[in-house]
Amino acid sequence: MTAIESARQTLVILVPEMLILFSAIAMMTAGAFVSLPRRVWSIMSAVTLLVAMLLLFGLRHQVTDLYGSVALNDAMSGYGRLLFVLTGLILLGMAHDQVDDARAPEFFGSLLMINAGAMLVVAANELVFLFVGLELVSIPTYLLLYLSRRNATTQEAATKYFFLSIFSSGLLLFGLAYLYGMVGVSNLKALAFLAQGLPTDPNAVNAPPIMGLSNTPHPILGLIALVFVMAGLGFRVAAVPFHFYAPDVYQGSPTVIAALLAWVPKGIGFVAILRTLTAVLPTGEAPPDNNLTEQAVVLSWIIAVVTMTLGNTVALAQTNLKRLFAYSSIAHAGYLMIGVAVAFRNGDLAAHGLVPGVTPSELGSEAVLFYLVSYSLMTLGAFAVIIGLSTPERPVETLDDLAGLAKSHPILAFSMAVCLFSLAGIPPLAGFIGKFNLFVAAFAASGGDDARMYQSLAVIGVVNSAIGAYYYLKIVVAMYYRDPVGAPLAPRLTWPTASAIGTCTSLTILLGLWAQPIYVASRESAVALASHGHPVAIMASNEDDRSTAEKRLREADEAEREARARRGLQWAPPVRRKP
Amino acid sequence: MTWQLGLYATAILVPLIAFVVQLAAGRRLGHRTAYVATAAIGLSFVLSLVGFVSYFAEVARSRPHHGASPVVWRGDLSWVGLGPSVPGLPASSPGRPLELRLGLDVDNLTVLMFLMVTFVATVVHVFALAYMRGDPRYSRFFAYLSLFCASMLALVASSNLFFVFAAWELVGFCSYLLIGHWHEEIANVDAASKAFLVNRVGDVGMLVGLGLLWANLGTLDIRTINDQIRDGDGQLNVATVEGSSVVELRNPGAVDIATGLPRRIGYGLLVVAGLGLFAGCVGKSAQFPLHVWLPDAMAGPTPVSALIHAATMVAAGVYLVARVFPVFTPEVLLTIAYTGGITLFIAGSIAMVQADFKKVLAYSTVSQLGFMMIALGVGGRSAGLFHLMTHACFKALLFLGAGSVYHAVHTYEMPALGGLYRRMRTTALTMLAATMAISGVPLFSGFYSKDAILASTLHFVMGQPEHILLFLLPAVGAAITAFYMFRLWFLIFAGQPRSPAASRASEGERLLTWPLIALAVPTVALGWPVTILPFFGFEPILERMLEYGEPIESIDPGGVQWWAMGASVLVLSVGFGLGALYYGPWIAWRRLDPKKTAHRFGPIHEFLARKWYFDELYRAVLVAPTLAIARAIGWTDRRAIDGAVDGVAWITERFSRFEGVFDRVAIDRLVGLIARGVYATGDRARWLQNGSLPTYLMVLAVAVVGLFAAMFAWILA
Repeated sequence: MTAIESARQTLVILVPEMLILFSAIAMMTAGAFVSLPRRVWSIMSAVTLLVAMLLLFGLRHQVTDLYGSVALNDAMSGYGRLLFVLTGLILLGMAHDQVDDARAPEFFGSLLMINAGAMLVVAANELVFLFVGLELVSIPTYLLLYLSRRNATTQEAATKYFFLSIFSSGLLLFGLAYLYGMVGVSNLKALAFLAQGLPTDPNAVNAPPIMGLSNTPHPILGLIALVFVMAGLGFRVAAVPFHFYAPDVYQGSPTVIAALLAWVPKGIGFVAILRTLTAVLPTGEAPPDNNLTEQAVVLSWIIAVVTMTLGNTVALAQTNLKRLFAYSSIAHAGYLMIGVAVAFRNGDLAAHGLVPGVTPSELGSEAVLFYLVSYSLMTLGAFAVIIGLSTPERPVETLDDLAGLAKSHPILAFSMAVCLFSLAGIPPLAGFIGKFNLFVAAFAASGGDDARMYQSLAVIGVVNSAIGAYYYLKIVVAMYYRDPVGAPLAPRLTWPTASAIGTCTSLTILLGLWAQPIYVASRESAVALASHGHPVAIMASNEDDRSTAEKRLREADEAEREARARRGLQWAPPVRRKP
Repeated sequence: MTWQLGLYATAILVPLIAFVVQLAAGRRLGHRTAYVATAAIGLSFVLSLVGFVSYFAEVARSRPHHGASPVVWRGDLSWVGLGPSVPGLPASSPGRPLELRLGLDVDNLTVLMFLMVTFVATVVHVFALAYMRGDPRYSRFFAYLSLFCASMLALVASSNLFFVFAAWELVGFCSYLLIGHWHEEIANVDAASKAFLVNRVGDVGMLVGLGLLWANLGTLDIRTINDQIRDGDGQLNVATVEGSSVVELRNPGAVDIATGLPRRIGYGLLVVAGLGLFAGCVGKSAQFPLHVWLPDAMAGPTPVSALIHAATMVAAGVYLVARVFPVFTPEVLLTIAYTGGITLFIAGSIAMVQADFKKVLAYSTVSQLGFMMIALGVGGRSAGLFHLMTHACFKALLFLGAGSVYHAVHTYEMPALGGLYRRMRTTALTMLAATMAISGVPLFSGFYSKDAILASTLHFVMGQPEHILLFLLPAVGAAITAFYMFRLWFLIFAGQPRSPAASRASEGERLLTWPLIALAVPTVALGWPVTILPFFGFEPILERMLEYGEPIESIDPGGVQWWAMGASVLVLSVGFGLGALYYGPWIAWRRLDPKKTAHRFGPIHEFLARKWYFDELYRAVLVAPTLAIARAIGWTDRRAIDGAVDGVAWITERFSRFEGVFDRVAIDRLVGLIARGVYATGDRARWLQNGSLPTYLMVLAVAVVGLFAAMFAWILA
């Protein structure tokens, strides 16, 4: 496959992102010339996202070369991008009346750009491309923070976020540079292949292994890369100790931006962690002995425990809603880190008996991906209710503002209660099944030397979810059992916000009652994340003898199909163009 | 799938549909929604009755023996299934590598629980029709009751621990809603929150247990685990693999599809899983140390206390322990026994000195649940379950009687009552029946179940004398029970009225008294099928029903039964005698004065009256430090970021000053040079640069559009 062919395939699968970006640029440019009501701009954004969603459906069978292209269209990329388009529409519904006409084009343009950036991160198969995607989310976010109401607290929040985000980007870039510097490859699937430490010559018995991170002559460099990448992405997901900005920035920024910050950076942060680090750490079925994996597990274990404990404990004492949700989102980052810690574990579970052929790494990724779906729905739903209730004259800021909501607005109170109970992990809601998967993944990964470590992680997680129930319940009690305080709420609920609330609430309940589709999607995505292609494919692309290459590819496809069938998945070999 | 399964599915769905109807048509129907709820649960009761008769007929045909598999009706559908199904495996095993099945599993225990739950619920619904009349949230109350009934029935019928847990949380949630029904008083709201949160603490253990079982055994199907974790002799399948002991699921069916090895769980992990599941039951059944929520939960309306916090939901913990009985290792069973023993003693001792008679009943419930737990812990599974059934009837009766009294006098304070017997004869007599049942007066239902419990513990202690406490605690507890129950009855109904309200009291309408009479029948007679009727040649129906499918490792007390009976009569007479001496109205000659005794044992009395200081202890040790830490960290978060930003700003400023000097000296010259060069170049391109921003943007936009168009043309070519 030639380079130009590969680039062409990549461009085809990135058409949805290009469409969104193009639309965003067009809106921002046109905004300088024409003044239209914000309704028009938001409709344009919604249409763009809907068309992008259709395009994603249309492109779902497209494939790209694993080692040749900067973006992939595997199951992870497909489902992830679909999720971000969907949540983008929900965010749009929440945001459509939160900005005045003058700033609308820039506002909605930034929103679209953030969406495109998030989708790029999900699809990325290249360190640099991943970074570009992350920045495409960050930079419009600064703009959004500055665009909104201009008072001292907003300014302060924006400044803080700006400086800290720049700083974290620097850290991440530093880590990525080390990754590249050690192996000389920036393609993620190629990195994953190298990380397996396969012998250079499969026929020779004592052939030296291919050099990857696992057997680099300078293991300390691997650790530096690991720590810096975790730090850079830890900021995005608001994990302790990079969480400091979250409460201040959420509190200082408009609610819709807080909702955006609570979901999009966290979502892409975890996808990026899974994409990069599970690729560079040897997590396959029979990995070489290596310290880096152990260090990664310890690092994520510590971050998980500290993050969820701190988030949950501090949230207990909060009365400001946005601060409370900030700490709640920190706590959820901690739960998700449980899955990450499992995803870093190497070895096969078959001896352990849970799911034959599924590696712990896949199990962990699967749990994280499932939880991200439920987290996005319940968090956005809760924020959407707050947005729906707030008006500039009567903002909803504190717990007291929600008091007595059940009497004045029973349906909104019900939606809020569903989202809160789901966040607290009460069955049969989506949040419970997500948490259950995370804890089970940790239990299932516990075998061998670090059994105690994973078991304690799961137990700490469960204890934390019990602590967390307190502050969510506090809000429910205020809504249902207390009398209103202060001036009555006078929400002007518009249909886009209402449908955002309705979508989040009903999906939270529905996914709790019927979780099968998300289970399948996250399982397929997790397998796609962990697969590092077949070594034959690399060789074939370099060989002159095409018939031999094709034969080898067919064999490799067959092997892959069998491997997946063992894991309980169906797989058809991709349609390959003739070389 | 048999028709009975459809019957039971309908019995669960009818209250659920009633709940939806009440929500949807609440406005239009107004207070008539209460009839919808009552009719729904009544229908469920009829269905359960049909199911019971049908089950009994089927069992009579097959005549299973002790320990033999009972008749089971089950059916399920795949809820989450991953991977291809593997043909050729028995139906009881998960057909797929990873599967959660949503299903019903109806055996003798489920049949009995259904009958008990629907019967008590129907009676309580009828009572509440009158009791709650005039309540501002009358229809909402019944809607929540319907939801509760549906989830409770789902809990006892689920074949899968995952869905047991979901129903478990739903009943807890309904309990939360109903405790806070009168939320005008903030204390009720606090009580509701407390109940919910304390239960969450128990759920921590439950989730850990579920996670361990699921992760290691790959299934949460109760029957699969129960049947296969022990061998034919009732012993755990312990094997030694790589130097550590593990418990294997027995073939066939529980084989790992890929490796062909049996599914297994480490012995230590099984202990932890068992303790975890039990922790959930400790929360739900209000056992020590999580018993603190139940007395506060009495803040809810009295019908709720009768149905949820006495008869059904709090018994769910006992039900679950009995349901997953084979999973518990001997260590866990011993923990269960001691937890029950400690609970029944602590709660009984507190009940002795409470002045609020609803509180007495609440602690009595905790104490009786302790009796059931200790029975299960020593292996007397059918004794514990039997007590669950009898307790549901007489405790519901006691609570409804309490509601009837409250309806007449509007107080729960016993010092302000007295002499009600003459004014409320039905209530007094039915409550006397219940009091005699719970105290264990022979021929009343409670006597037989408590006797069975004492026999089980005695049998256990005779085998292992070092655990003598496990017999002493329930024996003393039984005496305490008789004491506080007769104290309650004497103080309310005997003697002379001690307040104007009590002297004006009168019996309520028939809707309030009929439910009492309906509950009095099983309260008196539920023990007869076990003991009296067999003398006349009948089958010992209830006992058999409870014992079908009982795990072999549970014990059959056998000969010690007569000793236990003697002991229980003895403790009854001690308890009743003390109660009568202190509070009996007719013994004028040698009366004991409770006030004097309380004075003499001042500190102990205070200790009991303050409920062993559990609430204060938890507040000081758990709640206060956590909140303090939370505030401290929250404050740090707020400050630290500012400090860091200020610090960075300071460093940046210093650096920029240095930079400034450097710039002026060196850089400026260079920049000036470059600027002149650029200007000279730009001068030549002036035709494009007319100075207007829109033009620039226009050119840029056209360029971008052109580039995109070119690219698309190339891609799609």
